[in-house]
Amino acid sequence: MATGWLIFIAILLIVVVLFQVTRTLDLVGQLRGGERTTVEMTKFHAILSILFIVLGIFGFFWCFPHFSDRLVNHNSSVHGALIHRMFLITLYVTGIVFVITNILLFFFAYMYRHRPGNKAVHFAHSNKLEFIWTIIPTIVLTGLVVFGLQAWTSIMGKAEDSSLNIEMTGQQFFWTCRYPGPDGHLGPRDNDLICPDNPLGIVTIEWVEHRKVTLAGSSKLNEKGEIEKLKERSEEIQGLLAGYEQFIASSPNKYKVAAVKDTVDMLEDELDRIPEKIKIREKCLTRLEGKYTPDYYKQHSEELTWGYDDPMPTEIHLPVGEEVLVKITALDVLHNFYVPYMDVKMDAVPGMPTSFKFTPTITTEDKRKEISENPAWQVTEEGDDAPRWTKFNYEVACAELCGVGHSAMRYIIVVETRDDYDKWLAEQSSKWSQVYSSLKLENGFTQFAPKIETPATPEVAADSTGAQTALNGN
Amino acid sequence: MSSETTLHQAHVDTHEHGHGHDDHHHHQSFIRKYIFSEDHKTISKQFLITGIFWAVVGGLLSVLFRIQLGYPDADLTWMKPFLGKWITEEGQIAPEFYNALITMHGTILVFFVLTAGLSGTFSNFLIPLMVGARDMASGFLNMLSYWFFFLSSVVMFVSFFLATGPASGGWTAYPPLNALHDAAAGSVLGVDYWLVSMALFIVSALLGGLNYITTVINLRTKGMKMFRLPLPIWAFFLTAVIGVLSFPVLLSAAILLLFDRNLGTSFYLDQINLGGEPLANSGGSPILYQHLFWFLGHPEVYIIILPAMGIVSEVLSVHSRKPIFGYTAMIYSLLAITVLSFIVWAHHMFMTGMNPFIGSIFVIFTLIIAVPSAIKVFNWLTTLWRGDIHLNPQMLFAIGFVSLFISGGLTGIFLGNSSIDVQLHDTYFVVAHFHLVMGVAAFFGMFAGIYHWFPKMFGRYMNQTLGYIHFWGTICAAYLIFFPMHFELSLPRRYYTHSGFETFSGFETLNMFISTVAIISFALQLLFVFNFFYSIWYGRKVREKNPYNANTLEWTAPIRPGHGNWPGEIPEVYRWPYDYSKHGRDHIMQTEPLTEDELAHGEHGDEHDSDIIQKDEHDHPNDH
Repeated sequence: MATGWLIFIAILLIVVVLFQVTRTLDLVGQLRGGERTTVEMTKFHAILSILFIVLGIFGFFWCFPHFSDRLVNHNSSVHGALIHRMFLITLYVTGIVFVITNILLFFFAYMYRHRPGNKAVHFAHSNKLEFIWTIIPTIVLTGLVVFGLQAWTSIMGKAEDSSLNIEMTGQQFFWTCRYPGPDGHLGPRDNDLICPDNPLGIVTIEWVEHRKVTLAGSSKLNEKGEIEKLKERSEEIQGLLAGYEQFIASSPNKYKVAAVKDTVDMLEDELDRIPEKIKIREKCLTRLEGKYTPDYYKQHSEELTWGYDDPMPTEIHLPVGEEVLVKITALDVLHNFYVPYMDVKMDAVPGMPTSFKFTPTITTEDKRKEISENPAWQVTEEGDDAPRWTKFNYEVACAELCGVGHSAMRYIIVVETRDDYDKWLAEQSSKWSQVYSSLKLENGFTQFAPKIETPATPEVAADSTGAQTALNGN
Repeated sequence: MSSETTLHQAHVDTHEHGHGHDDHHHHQSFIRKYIFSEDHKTISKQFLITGIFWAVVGGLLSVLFRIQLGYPDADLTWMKPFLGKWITEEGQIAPEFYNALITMHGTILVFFVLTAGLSGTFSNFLIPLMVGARDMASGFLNMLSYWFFFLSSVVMFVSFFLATGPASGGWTAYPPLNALHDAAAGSVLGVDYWLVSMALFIVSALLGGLNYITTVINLRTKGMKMFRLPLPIWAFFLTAVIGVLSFPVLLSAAILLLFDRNLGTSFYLDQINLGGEPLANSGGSPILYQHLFWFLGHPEVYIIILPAMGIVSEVLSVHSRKPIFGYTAMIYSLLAITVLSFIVWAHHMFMTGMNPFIGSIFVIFTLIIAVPSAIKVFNWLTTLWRGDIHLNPQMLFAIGFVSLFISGGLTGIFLGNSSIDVQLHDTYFVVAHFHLVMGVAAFFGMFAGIYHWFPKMFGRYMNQTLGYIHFWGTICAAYLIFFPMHFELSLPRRYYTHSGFETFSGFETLNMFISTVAIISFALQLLFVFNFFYSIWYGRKVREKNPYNANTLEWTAPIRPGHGNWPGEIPEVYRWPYDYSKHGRDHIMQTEPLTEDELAHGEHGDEHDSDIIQKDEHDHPNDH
């Protein structure tokens, strides 16, 4: 601590001395006559300008080779190359302007500095010049707009009918992935069906009936519904609060009272929220009963089976060279499905599904081989036994601030050959069909509804991989 | 005319010739003179000093989060006495606090410093003095404008002391994160304070803006045609127009968000299931908020940069002893930017799932706005060309502004092109871009203005040598921080740490470097703050009325103008403000009548075309 103060005092002293020096310099300047000082100061800073721009331009060109090995390269998806080309074109155009205008700026400051004998010219305007530098940027920018929009249209264009459709759902703070399963269709979803057992709200007859029971309860199955449980909890809290109230009134120890008060506040807060929670569930139940009638089941009989076989794996696997259309949704706040290596980025918006199509071009294995030649990836980090490139994976990140765990929403994409992909998909399908097979409708409801575990909110940053643990069937 | 007598006369004359309402200001109490003042000069100083306070706070916040980014393992336990639970047991900045820091840094710098502190200060100070008015159109509204800003500041400041912390959902306050109380610590209560503070701030901005517009339109002195206005006034005028048209939209966005938060409405919410708990809201759209927000949010960046452009145009012209090049083109490009600023907002939203066709339209407008910006840059460069450049701190800051505006502006061409934006959206490339082009550049414009008009504001000079150190230190820091940051173009912003991702590793050293420079640069700004306050009381006294030999009206007023600005009659204007080095004369003030010759050939130097140089040399061979 003492050294800290010493350093602080030393810095303070230096600042004071520095300030006194600058004051003296100013005063001396004034005594020697304003004009002479102005000329000298101007010369000094004109020279500094030249120094600044020379070092600056040197630094500019030094940065590119220096950082290039750290940058994501853009050959992992078809449209990524397109974007990268646009980036490079723009970089060359703006780079030239950047270098020339900055050099001119600081060079002029030196060249036309105030000195004896230098006179400014009265040059107020020139139609010719102004026309030139209106028209040239316009032409260049038009070019950039045209090329840019061509790329944009192709990136955002309609996906092919044959493309693989998968779905990514973001919530605080993890991703859930869903595949269409053998029938090739993603089952429909309904927000009202979301419950711990069915975290995405997939619509099948079983899930609808399941949700009705979890809300309203069933005397036949001896199940209590959420609504009833909430009412019970409300009464329980009221009882607890009465007890605490008595304790506070009778206890002479103010510290103990203070300790209890926090608990009381928490309980009161919970109690306040219960009526709203009950109301939401009652409305939800009404909507479910209104919408999912026998007629509805009859009319949508085909769609209602699509959700039976949708695998929800913990990684995305994609066949190389084939187009995939990712449907992106969110359950709570905004997220953004961001795949840096593949130049994929799209917001996940609650209530408004978005999508992004792309075609991966290099398998994870080949990519590892490719980057193994890059010195930045040959480093073996402390505590690791293999160089960095061996652990390379295409990563998914969240690129829209979503709260405290924003930087922990990691997910992995494995790009592999069609054969490997088929093998993986078959495994997933059989695993998930087992999960769903326990869901067959008996007596309107099955007690053996699968418990699909939602991962606990990950400890932020402590273990970001925790976030990728999506849903596991048991 | 000696300045000493003028000073004396100022008191007498203001009293005798001033407007009727000036009379009872003669025996102003301390409170009326310095606190609830209706004098535009005092109000401008109030804005400036409050702005400086907020700049220090906002800068300090950035130091804290840069420590987290550059030195994630640093032991900050010693901060625990000040920050309490925001420092974790391990002595690190808590993730919730990190989010609050970046949110408040953005809010404070964008609104409180670079809007109120910049436009509030200079519009107030310069508009009446430069157009030749005794004060603003309404001194009372002007006073209210400051005090609404003050109230808004108080509310924002108080939010730092909430148990759950200030708003932490980003300075854009996107719902649902900022709409749901349980979505983040800062959303419990912090966002309510944030929204109330913003609402008060908008009231302040509107009162100020309406006043600026009215004053420029109605209170110009005799002969001060619109096309004889100095460029800063044009910039402040158009800034106010932008503000008046766009701030109300933000107000409605904020109020609807308050409703969604507290009254159970669903303007921005639909189908939400937060932490397994279904919510009743349905039918709204989070994207609606983004449209409303950016309808202000984008013009806002021009609200920040236009005043800086105006100030820089004036400073460059005065200190290179040359007329600003292309005066009319400068005005028309300001107008073009003003109009276009309203139709580019959705370029912030290319990646929201918005219809790509609409995105294309916004690409076109966005890149068009680069044209007037380019014209301005080329005109500034030409203003320097063959000038007689006095490199004092204000001139250096003005040159620095042009450099930063170029460097930051060019990267806007990447971001405005939606296809490249797929790659760059919400990464550090964006952070580098806007910090250069509207953050540091606007600060440079502000510094140029402060160094330039400090003598007019306080009757004293700032310490020049400290000013030089301030300039070189700051411009080096700005480039050292933000240029290499462009290379972090795959790293997402607003990340507490990037260490969880293999893809984002390799930038630890760079982040450490950036953080170090940022901390040094912050210390350097404290040097400026010291210089500023020290010089108010102890700076070298101004002894001439027009120390820079400038042409504009504020330099015809007494060294320390009283309430009413000019003793006696308000000066009359006969010409544009940029007659420097004309006809062999160093400068011709706006108050000097046009000569017969000028009347015959048009003022503005309109007769001068590119052949002017030969003509000048022909006319005045003795000058060389």
